[in-house]
Amino acid sequence: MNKKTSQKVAFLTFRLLGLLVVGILFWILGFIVYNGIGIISWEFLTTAPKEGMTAGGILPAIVGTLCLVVGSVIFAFPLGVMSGIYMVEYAKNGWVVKLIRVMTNNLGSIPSVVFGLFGMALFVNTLGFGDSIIAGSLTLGLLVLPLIIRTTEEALKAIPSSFRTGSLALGATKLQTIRRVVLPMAFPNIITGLILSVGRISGETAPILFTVAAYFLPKLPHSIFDQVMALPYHLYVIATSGTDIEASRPIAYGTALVLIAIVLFMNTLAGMLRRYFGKKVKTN
Amino acid sequence: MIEAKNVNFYYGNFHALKNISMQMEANTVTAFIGPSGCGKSTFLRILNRMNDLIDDTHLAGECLIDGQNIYDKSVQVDELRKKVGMVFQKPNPFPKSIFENVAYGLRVNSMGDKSFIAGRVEESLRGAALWEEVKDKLKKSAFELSGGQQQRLCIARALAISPSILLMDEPASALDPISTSKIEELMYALKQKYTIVIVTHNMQQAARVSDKTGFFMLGELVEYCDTKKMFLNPDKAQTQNYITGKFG
Amino acid sequence: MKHTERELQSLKEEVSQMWKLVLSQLEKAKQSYFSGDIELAREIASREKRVDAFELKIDSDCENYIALFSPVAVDLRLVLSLMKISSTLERIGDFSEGIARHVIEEDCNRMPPQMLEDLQLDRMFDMLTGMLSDSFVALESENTKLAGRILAKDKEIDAMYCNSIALIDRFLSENPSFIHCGLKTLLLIRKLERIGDHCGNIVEEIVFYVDAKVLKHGAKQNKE
Repeated sequence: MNKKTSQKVAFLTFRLLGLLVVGILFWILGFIVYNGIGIISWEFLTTAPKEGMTAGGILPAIVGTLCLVVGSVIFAFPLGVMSGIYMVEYAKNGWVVKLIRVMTNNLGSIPSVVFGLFGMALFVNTLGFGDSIIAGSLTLGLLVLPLIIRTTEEALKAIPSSFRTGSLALGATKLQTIRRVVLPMAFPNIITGLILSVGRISGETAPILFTVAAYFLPKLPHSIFDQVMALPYHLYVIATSGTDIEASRPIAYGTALVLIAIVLFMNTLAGMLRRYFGKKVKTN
Repeated sequence: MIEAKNVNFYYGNFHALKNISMQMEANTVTAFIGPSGCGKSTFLRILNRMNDLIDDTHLAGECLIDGQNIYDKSVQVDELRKKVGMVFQKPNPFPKSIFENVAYGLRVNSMGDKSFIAGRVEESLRGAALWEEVKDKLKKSAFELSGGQQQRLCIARALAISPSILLMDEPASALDPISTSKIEELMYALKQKYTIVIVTHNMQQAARVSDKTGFFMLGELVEYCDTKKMFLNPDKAQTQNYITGKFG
Repeated sequence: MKHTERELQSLKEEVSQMWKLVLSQLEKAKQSYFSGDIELAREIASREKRVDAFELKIDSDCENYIALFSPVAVDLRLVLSLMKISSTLERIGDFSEGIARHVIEEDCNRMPPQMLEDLQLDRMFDMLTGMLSDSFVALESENTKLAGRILAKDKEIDAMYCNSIALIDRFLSENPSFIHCGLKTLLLIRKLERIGDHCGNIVEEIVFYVDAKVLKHGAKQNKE
């Protein structure tokens, strides 16, 4: 086989594999959309489940998921960003930082069900929050903390040190430098990390299983100590252990579609924000 | 006036500067030349304590600016850096507007109100010979300027907080000849008001702009004298070999 | 104007001042020769030191300029020609002083006026000051149109010099008592001829600076 043909064969193989991946993705999406689009209606989105979850809507689950997203972001985002700043900007590159980095990486690879168990032990039982939004949010927050720290770190490291020295040389303090120069520049990438973690939070099932999710609760929460339903868990329930699985199948597809739509929406938002802030702080 | 007395500097165990003693007069341009890694930039960064940012370094000896040892415990680094401005090799304007770039130093040091800042920004841009080119687009991003303009913006930014000393670390090495010549012309004008210390790889540049030149090699200050003498009749054979390009 | 240009300008200015000084030395030499004014001659001799000082100053300034500013093209040609012009001017200054010494020494009878007239000494002096001031104008205006005229005058002076040898030869064989004085006069004329040559050299330097053409040692060589 001469060079030219081997080149062609290689190119063709890569191309086919690439198309295959896209194909599978579209197949899944198409399948969900095809099966789920029929059930989607204003009523489906704005009412509670009825008749053993074989009819009615999924409003409590949507609201529950949103509560969890907001709660965990409030907890994890400041903590993660501040740890990232500490590790990149302040800590000397010694064993402490190495340790923290190893630990966050390990934390990131722990199965989410373990987080669920841990959350139950700590927040639900020890701290006595019970199955509640706050317990679930904190658990989910812990889950995405490594991701946020990681992306913050990467975002800060990507800022050339010349900007820092430039600022310091003008008599700015380290804090001023971080606040006025480094953070605005790193912001687009940090935001991306945040939105990705929001996607992750809205999709996770295992951690909320033990800490917040209600099997069936057709009312909206009143405080952070209430239980809620959540989309992924609801999907699991009606697909596997509902009162009438066959009857609730269309609702399951509809729920999946809503969940995917929320995640896709988050990702698109991430891209848009990134572009928006990126334009504001364009580097050369 | 800047005075170094037996300055020794170490990166970890590496002895980067050996017993440097020299004086730089006010309102002159002093140039440091020498091969890469000879310590000239390190010495420049000692003068505004930029080396403090590097871990595991230490300094022995004294470095005095206007009679005060800048490594004294009582000296506040940010106050020192207000007095000793710095311009870097690569233009590094902030991702802000042209106006905000120049105003930055004033804002972080809380110097003056709005109208004062506006006046000072104009004054500094004029001082850096950039005002005429940017006066209609002060709100535009600094990155829209050319490399040479960005470097002059960085000079304006440094001038805004009215330092008395201006350190320049190869300020023209990333620029084309025309921008370079503008920067050199600027240095010549600025020495009326500021004491300028410049590090450069370009010996002709050192010759053109400076009053005194120091030649560094392997961490030592081999020769320090009037630029005219340095380029016509240096005392040391090492200097001669370096500036004539016979350096082996 | 850039500071490098200003430096070059001031270098040129120094040469102009030296030029004016040398020109006045030559004019005064003429004056003292014809009037026999010893005081004036002494003044010329003492002012020669200033010419020398000018040369030293211009030399070191040119050295500095080349060392510091590494000039190229027209700037390089200007500095090089200014250096040569200043040393040539210094030689002209030397000859002017020589003429003044001739007046001061006063150890011979003066040649008879008729002889001086035949030798056209007056005219020679005037041509030389004309050449010197014309070449000054040529440099100031960077105009080489005058060059041909000045070089033609140099040829004329050479001819007058040859002619004067014959004249003095004939005169001395008839009036042997004037031998000492006649020889000294011949030396004086020789000096004037040399000044003419130097003025020619200056013009060649100006042409080199302005047009980058080499006229030295006959343009024929260049044509080949």
